[in-house]
Amino acid sequence: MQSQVLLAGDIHLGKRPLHLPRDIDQYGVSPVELTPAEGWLRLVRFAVEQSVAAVVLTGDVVEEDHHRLEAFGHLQRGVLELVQNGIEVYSVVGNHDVEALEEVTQRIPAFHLVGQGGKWEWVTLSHQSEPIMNILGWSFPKQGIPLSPLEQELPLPPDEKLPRFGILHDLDTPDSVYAPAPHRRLEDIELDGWFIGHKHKPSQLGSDSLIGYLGPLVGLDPSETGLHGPWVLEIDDLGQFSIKQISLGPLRWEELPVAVEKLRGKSDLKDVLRDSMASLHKRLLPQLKGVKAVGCRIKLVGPRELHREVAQRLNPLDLEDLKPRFDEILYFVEGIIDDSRLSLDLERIAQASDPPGLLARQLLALVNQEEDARQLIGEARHRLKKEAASSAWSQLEEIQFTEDQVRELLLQAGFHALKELLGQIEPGNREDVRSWN
Amino acid sequence: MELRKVTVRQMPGVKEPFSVQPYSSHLNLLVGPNESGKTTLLRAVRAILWPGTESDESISIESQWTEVGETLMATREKAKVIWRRDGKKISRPLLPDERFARCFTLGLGDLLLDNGSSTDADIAAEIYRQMSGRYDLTAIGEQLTVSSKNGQTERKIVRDLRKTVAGIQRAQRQLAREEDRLPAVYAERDRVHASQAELDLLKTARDLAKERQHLRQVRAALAEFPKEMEQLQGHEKRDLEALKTDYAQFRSPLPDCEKAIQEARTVIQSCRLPHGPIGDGELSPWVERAGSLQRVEIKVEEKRGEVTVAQGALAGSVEHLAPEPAPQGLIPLDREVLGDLEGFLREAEAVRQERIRIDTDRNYWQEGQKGKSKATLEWGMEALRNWRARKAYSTGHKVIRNLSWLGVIALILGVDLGWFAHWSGFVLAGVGIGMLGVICLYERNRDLAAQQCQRQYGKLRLKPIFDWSLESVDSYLKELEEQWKEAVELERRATLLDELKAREESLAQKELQVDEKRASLCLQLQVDPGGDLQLFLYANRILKWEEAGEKLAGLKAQLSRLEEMVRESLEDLNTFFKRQGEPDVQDAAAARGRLEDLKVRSARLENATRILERESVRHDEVKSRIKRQEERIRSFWNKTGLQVGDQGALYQYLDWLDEYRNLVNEGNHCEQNIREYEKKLNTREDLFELTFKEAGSRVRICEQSVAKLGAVMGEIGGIQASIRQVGKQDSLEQALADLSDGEQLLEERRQENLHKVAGRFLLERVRARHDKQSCPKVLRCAAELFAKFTHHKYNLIVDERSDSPGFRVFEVFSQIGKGLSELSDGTRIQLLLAVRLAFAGQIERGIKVPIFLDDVLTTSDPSRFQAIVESLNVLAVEQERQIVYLTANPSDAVRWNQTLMKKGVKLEAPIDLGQIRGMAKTTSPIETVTGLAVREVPSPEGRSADKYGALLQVPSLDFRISVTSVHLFYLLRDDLGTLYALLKASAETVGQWQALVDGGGHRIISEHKVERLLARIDLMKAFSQSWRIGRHQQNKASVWAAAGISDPHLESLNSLFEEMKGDIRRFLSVLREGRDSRTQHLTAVDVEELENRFVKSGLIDKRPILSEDEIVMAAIPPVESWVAQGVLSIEEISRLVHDWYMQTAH
Repeated sequence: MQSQVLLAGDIHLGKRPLHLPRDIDQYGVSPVELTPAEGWLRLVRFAVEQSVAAVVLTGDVVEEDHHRLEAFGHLQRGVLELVQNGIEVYSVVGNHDVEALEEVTQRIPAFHLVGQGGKWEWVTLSHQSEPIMNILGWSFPKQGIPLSPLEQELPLPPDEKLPRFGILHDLDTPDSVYAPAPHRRLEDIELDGWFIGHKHKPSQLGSDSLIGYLGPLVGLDPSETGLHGPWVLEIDDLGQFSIKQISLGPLRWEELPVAVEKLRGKSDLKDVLRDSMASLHKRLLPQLKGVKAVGCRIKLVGPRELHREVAQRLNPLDLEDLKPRFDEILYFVEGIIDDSRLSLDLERIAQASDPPGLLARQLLALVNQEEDARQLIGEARHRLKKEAASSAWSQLEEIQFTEDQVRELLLQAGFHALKELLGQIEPGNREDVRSWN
Repeated sequence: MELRKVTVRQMPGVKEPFSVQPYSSHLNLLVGPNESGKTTLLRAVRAILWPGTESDESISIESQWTEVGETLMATREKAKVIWRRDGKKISRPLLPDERFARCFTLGLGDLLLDNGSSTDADIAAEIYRQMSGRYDLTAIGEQLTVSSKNGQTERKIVRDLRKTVAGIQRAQRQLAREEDRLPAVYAERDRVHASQAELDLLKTARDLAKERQHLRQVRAALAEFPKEMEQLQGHEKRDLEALKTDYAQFRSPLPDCEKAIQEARTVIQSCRLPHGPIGDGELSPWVERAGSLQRVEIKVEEKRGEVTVAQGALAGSVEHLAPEPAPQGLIPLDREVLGDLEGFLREAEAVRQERIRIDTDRNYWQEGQKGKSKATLEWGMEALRNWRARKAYSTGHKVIRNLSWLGVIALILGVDLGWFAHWSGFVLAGVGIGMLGVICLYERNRDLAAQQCQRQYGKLRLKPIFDWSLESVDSYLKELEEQWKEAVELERRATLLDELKAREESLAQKELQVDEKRASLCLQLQVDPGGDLQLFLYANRILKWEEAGEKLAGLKAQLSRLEEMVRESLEDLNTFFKRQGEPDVQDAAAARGRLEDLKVRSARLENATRILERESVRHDEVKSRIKRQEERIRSFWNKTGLQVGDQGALYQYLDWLDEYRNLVNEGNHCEQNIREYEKKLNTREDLFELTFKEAGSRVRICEQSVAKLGAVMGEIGGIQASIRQVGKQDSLEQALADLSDGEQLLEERRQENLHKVAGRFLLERVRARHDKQSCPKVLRCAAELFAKFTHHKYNLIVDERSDSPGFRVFEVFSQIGKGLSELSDGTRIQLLLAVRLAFAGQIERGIKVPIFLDDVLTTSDPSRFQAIVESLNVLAVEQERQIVYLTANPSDAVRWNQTLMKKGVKLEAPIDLGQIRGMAKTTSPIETVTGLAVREVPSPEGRSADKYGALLQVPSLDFRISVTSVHLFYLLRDDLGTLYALLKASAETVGQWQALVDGGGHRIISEHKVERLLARIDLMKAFSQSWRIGRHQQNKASVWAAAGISDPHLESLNSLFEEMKGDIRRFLSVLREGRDSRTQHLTAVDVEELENRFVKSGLIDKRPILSEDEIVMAAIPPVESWVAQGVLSIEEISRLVHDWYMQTAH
């Protein structure tokens, strides 16, 4: 008999994906249909249809603790449906749902928290009354845990014959406050694999490695590109197992590379972009089951000397009505990655001693992280902090202004100023000269 | 580096390649009208020096340069530029960076400052800009100024969204607290539910006590009624009445029944059928028998009639045999023989006819004469034909005769020649003798063969021939042929006679057979009537007589059989009647009457019997029913418990019955309730014996507790409903999403500000370094140039008094410092030019690049013009820099010349670009040196637009030519002041205005007016495009280019085209007619092909011409952006379009 266990990472019920077009419902897709709640509902349906043995969650199931009523509505309905169909639900607590998941456990006994209170715990998953695997889990006892849970002693497994997996919500960064458990240390523990929550970019779990992040059911912002969805772990009688990710999410984010050569000289850039979207759709189609919308972040690629010309003509606002449908899936442009700094030959410009040349020299120092740049960054940090301290930004989180942050800011602003300067006299950039053709 | 030659083979907008050369090392003046390629030339030079400035893939340019005495060739094909020296590839000369390309090209705007109204600061800023390579750090710095208002709106939005989120979260936290309180509320609900259960039991105990008390009262009342009341049902009175009614009804049919029985018995007696009724089964055969008897009786009568007729027929046939008596003892005759009498007659007649035919044929064929045999005649004919063949005169004879003559002539001639001339003549004579000999031999053989034929004919003993000539032989031959034909006919007749003989013998056989048959018939009939026909008739009569006798005998036998049948049937019927007691009958009619009577009587008897049986049964039933009803009445009384017939007592008890019954039911109900109450209380026996008062007291206490249930349940329901509702909602999710969006926007604003701060920070450093490092060099160089330009009249110095860039000039002569605004226009321009060129010099890397000036001076007043020309001259001569000046205005050349001549410099002959490009020759500046002056433009003051247009001699409006050639009057007739300003700046046409703007000359009118003019030009272009729909082009160059004509007839066609005033349709019409001598070399196909080319190239537009309204509709979309900006209004568009439409209507 083969058993299936469904694994899902950071669902974040109660949160909506960012950067959706404000008018998307006018194109027949409601923002509500693209939420993690919709992803959770689809997971529940899939689990019931496939009669999986159990559903295992790796924390951050609910967006925030104080969001328990709305998010609970979705979670509770889903868990009840799973339980009514004989599917038990196991989860560890993430940093986002410390109180929320304990609340669920009290209300729905079939919802099991593993490692509650920050103590490692083994549980055995069964299918049709037969044990199929053991899970070792650890849950956040409170939101911030700067210590690695691996510092604790691990209990012995209840049955060593069954496959053993660990579930954990952590961030593999030493100075993290989110239970920093180094993944290289996880490899030393004699388990068959570790399924981890927190990071939203799913790892390539498979035959090579069985330690990695599961990722959310729906990409919550445009940076979360690619396939998102639950993982299906299949275990046979002999304890052999395999894992694969399936597409269940209603929304997908993609970076859409568009060659500048294609856009150059075209009167209607939208036609070219539409064609690129069509090609993207053709490529993604096998992974688009259930997807209702695909958000594209256009990235210009190709010869750098053409970037500026194209980037100037490509206004995101003009692309708001570019929402084609392919096989009933709505495509939209989320934004444009204008990396036109590629088009500037800093070294050549820096040879002159005119203002662009002098500016280019500073930028080169920043790019190459020369010694001069340190002083530059130090002075700039002071100016930037002063601006950031303005009351206008009191509603936002404070910026630390690390060296990297300041360097990046200076580079962005410097490249922009350089382009503006060059544009003042270069024929192609003079906006005050009209075309007489 | 100096430019020597440029050849533009291919560039956007260039249809025909062109070359421009030579170039002077100093000043070069290029004059060419608009669209003659000045700008193209500039672009071509830039494309060679800085390939990145031109990206078109179709570019093909070749150029020649000199650098330090060496010639360099630079070619560009597509994007690739190759430099060569002495045919060898070399690397690109060390030229300034590509972005400085425009530093070596000066336009009008580069040296023009707002009509002299600039302040020191403005001029200083401009100088500073020029010193920075025209990069305006200040402008960028202004862009990077952080606005304190930036992000205020977003911050407010975020704050509001936070409040919204907080509000929702507060409400949800409150709900969560209530949810937490639910367990306590559930406990309260359970307590109330327990009180409610106790309350029900106490109410039951109270009801039980009450019921018991009531039961006792009911039972006491029932004891006062008589005991018979228990047996009464209440419907006894009705039952009794029903029983009585039924009894009376049961007795009523009895008298009718008895009367019917008596009547049936009377009818049975009157039917007189001792054996009872006779059934249809028994009677029907007899009725059928009687019917059959009647039909036989009818047949007997018919048969008797037929016998009488047969007897008459027999007597008639006997009479017909007379006079011959009827044969005796001959019968029976052989009917087969007699039946074939007709065949016998036909056969005898056929034999007779055949005999007649044979006799006739024989007589015919036996006629004819005997003559010579057919073979003899054939031989004779052959002999004659052979003879004739030998003797016939033919072509051969002619040949023989001619040969004979030749032989004779040859003989005579040969003899004569042999004798008198040469011995060889005898050879010819010998040939002649030989020929004659051969001919003689031939003739002799022919005569012998003819004689043999004559002999052969004579042996046949046919008609002898005495004259053997061709005519005579032909006559004999014809006669023989006739005789031969007769002989053939006689031979055929002999054959036919033989056939007749055979037929005659066959006929004789048949005649014998006929005679034998006749003899046989006569023998049978014992008479010979004398002929075949008579024999036939007699035999027929005999046959009829015989048949009549036979028929009579048959009829008599049939009659006898029928009469016997009648007798037997009557006997049977009478036997049946006798058995029924009836008398005999004599015929079929009587029998049928008797049978009918029997049938009627049987039916009556049967009916009466049936009535008797039925009424007897009914009588018995009625009797039985009466008896049963009497039993029921007795039983009824027994049930009441009263005596039979005690109707008074019964009715009295029934009156009491309802009251009695109510009491009984009440008692039963009480008992039932008591049982149920006791059952409910079976677990609480302590409540069994409670009195009504005790139970009531305890009920009241419980009810007070239960009254809280509604409130508790409402509270629970409310909390649960709220939780459910919130669980289904996503208001917090939505609010958080909105907050995220708001924060994102605010973050974007913060990033914008941080970017500006960072950018400004960098630029400040750039500026500081530039001021410290680069500016001084440029300034020094500029000061030197400025001094040279002003012939060391002025020095440029830095003004140290202000923080912002500041400059002053020092007048050397007077030793007085001056502000920049105090300088004359010319000096100021010289200063700007000096700074500009100083910067150009700074960015050069060892190679001097030529300076190009594009229409820089066109709008300059004389003082500026002179200052610039002098400065450029200094630059060209002293700095040894090549300068190329391009202008569309021929008068510029004049002014150059005038200015330089004052300095004793002779200007090289200008290069006429218009002429090079095949356009109309520009009026030579040299030719106009004395005639042309700077144009004086009349002022529009006090003049209407039309009058001013007339004064300016504005050409008529024509959109068949390019909009760039349209006079600005048509765009600015409602703003003559602006028009005047532009005309003064030598901008008459749209194209000249565009050139002015390209060179920065738009500053001569206000920005608003520039925008309005640009918008109107866009509108005019849109109008022009729509107006051209359905109209044809008149541009001659376009026409011939489209037609692809380059033949020797081009001139003649061109003259015709001009005669037609450029009207292509008229032109084509004349070509089609072919009457003009200049077009006669064109065929109809040529003309059609020409027209196709015109259509294909758009010169002939077959679409319908648009109306004014349609043009307005088409013209609006291209200028929508202007309308949106408020530069153009719809009313203005309509007015302008109407004006232009009317202007071009004719």
